[in-house]
Amino acid sequence: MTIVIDILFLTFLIFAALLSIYFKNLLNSTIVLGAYSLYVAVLWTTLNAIDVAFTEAAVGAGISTVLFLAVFTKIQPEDRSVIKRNRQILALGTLFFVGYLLILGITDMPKFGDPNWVTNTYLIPDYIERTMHETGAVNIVTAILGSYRGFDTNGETAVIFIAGICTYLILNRGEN
Amino acid sequence: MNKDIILKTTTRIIVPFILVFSLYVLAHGEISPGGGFQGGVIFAAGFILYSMVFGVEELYKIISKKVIIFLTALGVSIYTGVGFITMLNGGKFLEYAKIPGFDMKSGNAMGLLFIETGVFITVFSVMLLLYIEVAKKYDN
Repeated sequence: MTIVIDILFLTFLIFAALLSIYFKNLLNSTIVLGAYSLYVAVLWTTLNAIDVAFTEAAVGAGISTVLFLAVFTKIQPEDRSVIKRNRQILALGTLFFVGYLLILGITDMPKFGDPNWVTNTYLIPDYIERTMHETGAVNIVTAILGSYRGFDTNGETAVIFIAGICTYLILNRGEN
Repeated sequence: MNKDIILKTTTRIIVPFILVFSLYVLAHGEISPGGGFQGGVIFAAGFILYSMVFGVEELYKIISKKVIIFLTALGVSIYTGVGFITMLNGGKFLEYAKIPGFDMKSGNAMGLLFIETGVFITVFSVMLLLYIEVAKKYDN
C-alpha cells in the first residue's frame, strides 16, 4: 500500500514541478508550487518524518505561497522579458552539471532503512534509549533540537531574527 | 480587500481556532509533532489571514509594527536568557537542569518549553514582519 502512495505522489511531484516551469502565468506557477510542497509533506508523512512534514506544510505550502502571492501583486502578471538564447544554453549546462553532482552524491547514501548503516547501529538507538529518562520529552525530535542540540537551535533562532530585521531594513531603506 | 461578507465572516470564525491550535502545537511539542517553529508559523498565518481579509491597517490596531519588531528581539532574548540564567545558577550554557526552582526532570521539561516559547515569538514576529513589509506597498 505504501509503495502505491509513494509512486502516486512522486508522479504528482514531478508533474507539479514540470507544470510550475511550463506555466507562463506566474500566478499559476505559484499555486502549483504550493501543491508541490503539499505533496512533499505527504511523502514525508509516509516516511514517518511528521515534524518535517508539519514544517513543510506550514512553511512551504502556507507562508511561502502567501509571500509569493504578495510579491506577485506588485509585478507584471506575465513576465515576457526576453531571455537570450546563449543564457538558456548556459542554464541548461548548469542544470545538468548540478544534477550530475547530486546523482553522484546519491551513490554514497545508504540503502533505505539499512539496519547496518553507521547511524542506525549506535547513534539513533542511543538517542531512543536516552531521551526519555534524560529529558522527559516523548518526542525525540524536539528533545534533540531543544536539549542535545540546544546551542544550534539558539543560533538558528538568531539567524531568523537577523534575516527578518535585515529584510525589514532593506525594504525600508531611504525612509525616515 | 473588497467587502466580501462570506470571506470576512469565515475569517472571523476561523482565526481564533488557528491561534489556539498554534498554541497547542507549541505547548504539546514535547509529546506530539510540532514545537516552537511550527507553532510560530501557524500563529503568524492566523494574523496574516486576518490582515489579508481586513487590511494591514486593521492589523495595526491589534499589534503595531513597533511591537512586532520588539517581539523579534524578545524571542531570541528569552532563548539566550535561559542560557545565561543556567550559567548564573552554576551550570553550563542552556543546562536546563540548573534552572532555578526546578529539579533535573522538571527543569528539562520547563527549559524546553521556555526556549520553544522564544523560538515561537521570534518566528511569529519575523513571518508577520515579512508579510507586512512585502504587502504594504500594495496598499498605497
